Amino acid sequence: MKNFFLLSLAHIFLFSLAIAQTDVYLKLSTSERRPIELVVTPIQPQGKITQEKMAKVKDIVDILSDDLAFSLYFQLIESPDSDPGYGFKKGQVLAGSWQLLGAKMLLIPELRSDKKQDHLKVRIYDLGVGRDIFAKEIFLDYSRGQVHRICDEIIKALTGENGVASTRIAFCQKNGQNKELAVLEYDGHNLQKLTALNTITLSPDWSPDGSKLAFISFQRNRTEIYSLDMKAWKLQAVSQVEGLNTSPAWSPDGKKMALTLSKDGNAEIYLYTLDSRSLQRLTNSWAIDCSPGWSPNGRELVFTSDRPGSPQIYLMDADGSNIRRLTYQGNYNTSPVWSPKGDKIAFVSRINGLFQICAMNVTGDGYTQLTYEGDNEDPSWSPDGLHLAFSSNRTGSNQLWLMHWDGSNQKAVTNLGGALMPAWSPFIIP
Amino acid sequence: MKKSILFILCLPLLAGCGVKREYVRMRDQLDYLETSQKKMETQLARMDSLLRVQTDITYQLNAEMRTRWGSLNERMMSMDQQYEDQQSRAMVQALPLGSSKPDSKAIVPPVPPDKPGDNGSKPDPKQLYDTAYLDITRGNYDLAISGFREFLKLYPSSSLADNSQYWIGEGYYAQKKYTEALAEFEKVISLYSNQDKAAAAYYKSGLCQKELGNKTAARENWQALIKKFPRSPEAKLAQDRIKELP
Repeated sequence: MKNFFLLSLAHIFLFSLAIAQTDVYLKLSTSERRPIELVVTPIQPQGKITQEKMAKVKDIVDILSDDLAFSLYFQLIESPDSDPGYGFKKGQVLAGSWQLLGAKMLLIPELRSDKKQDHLKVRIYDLGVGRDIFAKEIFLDYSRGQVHRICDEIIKALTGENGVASTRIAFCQKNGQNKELAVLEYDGHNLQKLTALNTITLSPDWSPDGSKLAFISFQRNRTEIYSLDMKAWKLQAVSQVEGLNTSPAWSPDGKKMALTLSKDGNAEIYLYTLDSRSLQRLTNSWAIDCSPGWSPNGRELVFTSDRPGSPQIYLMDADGSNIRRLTYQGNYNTSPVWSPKGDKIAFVSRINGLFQICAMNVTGDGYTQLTYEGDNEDPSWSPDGLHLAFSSNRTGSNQLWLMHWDGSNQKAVTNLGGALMPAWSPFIIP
Repeated sequence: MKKSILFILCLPLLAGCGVKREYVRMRDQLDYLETSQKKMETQLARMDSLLRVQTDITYQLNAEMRTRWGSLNERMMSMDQQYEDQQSRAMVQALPLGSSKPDSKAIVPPVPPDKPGDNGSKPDPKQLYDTAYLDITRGNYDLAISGFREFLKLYPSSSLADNSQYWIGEGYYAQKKYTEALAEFEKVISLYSNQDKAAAAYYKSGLCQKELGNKTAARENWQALIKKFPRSPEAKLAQDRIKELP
């Protein structure tokens, strides 16, 4: 398993000493992945800045630090001194004092303020070569979104990869007997309600361009699949056939949707083509086949089937052929999701009577249990395949949680009446 | 026209005292409908919690209901298996490849080294196969094809040889290179006719033929599949595809 993770995850190394600001500075490699040791220095005031403003900008810089640490591309080292002068002499970096801490790079926030606006300049300084490798100046609007965008720009400039700091998570928010769709920033802030249908709304799934959400609604007293266009703010019925209409999964090219329907008897997986509104049946089994999820290339599907007598995870080609079983561990495995990197499948496994998030390689090995406390369900990959969102009741009520791909760093991002079924958005590319 | 309108207008009068009885019956029906609607609303309110356990219960019920079914099915499959194994053994004697893969539908059955001590500087077969398959899932089809070709060159008698041959076809198919894909899927059919990728290869050959405009050949492929692997999932898909053919 380790080999495949090492293959699949980005290893960062320096490949050039002289490089322009917009060039890719860090490269991916197939060998060991190593985050860059980074110190976020205290804010460097340019001219007179009030204590109040410094505190306000410190909050902004803290968001940026959290984003960078979460990204897994950086290992943050705390600055030993909150004095802006520490490690600098006449505005010049004293590399030695930072290198002693094990740092390879500095993030230097510089704050300048005029009558109208506050300017924040974010510099990434490479201690090895003694120069800036990234610099960006913004007029602060003090929004979290602005900070998340800077983080993603830094990651893009240094690694060539897209960052997830600007991504959002859609989910089902419990509201009395009802559940409504809502969305928040990946780190749990800025909750925005999307539906007020006064019914049960479940299983949100993003269109690959991030403009629409497919979901299940009970608004006509039965399960039906709808799509919410979040730009035109329009609700459209997708599937309302007789019986169950569940688990919508948008294909990576956005043209199709894999669905679970029971119109022909028991639950089977169908392929729905959005333009022609045509249905193609993919599975033909006496067993229940449900919860389809796409491979990143759109050529295969992962799904749950109880054809062996208990639910297990299967793979098939996206035309329904070449079905093969993936999981043999335990007797209850459901809700599979294929990592956007292609290498992993996360799913829910019932272990000792509790639901836990597990993951394994698509090649059939590397089974790993990722959660241990309470019930943990509904895994959803971040678009970079480095993190998972899920719902957990370990603190008493269902809340949204995040963790890294290996199960480390589990943290709750909501504290609501109840939050379920997270769906991590695609990359938000400005 | 005017007459017919007059007739319609007079209908209530003609109906006379029947109207009242009709009204009472309709009111009763409305009452009944209202009651059942309230019942439905109560049920809907409970669906929230029910839904969470629904899948669980369904699975359990189905598992229980089909225990007998399953064991019967397994016995049938094992009989099928014995038959296919016998056939396979007969084929193996005729084939130079000498592969005798256990017919497991597992994505990757354990891969024993071809011959102990024979590996030399050869890459690990499982790693080679897995890397090529990961290239398929990531859409690096040319890389995947060369990886699987390398695998077939180094480990022609591996239990994953038929899988590799299948994925080479799939690598071309994904790139819409249907002629190349067809040739590769046909190799699965001819070289590994009784192994677990054969049915899918028949099905994909039919799809390639259809894409190439050879509807007759497509139909023949799918009919051969239905005849040879009547109980395979691909046979049911093939039936659907044949129906769609003009």
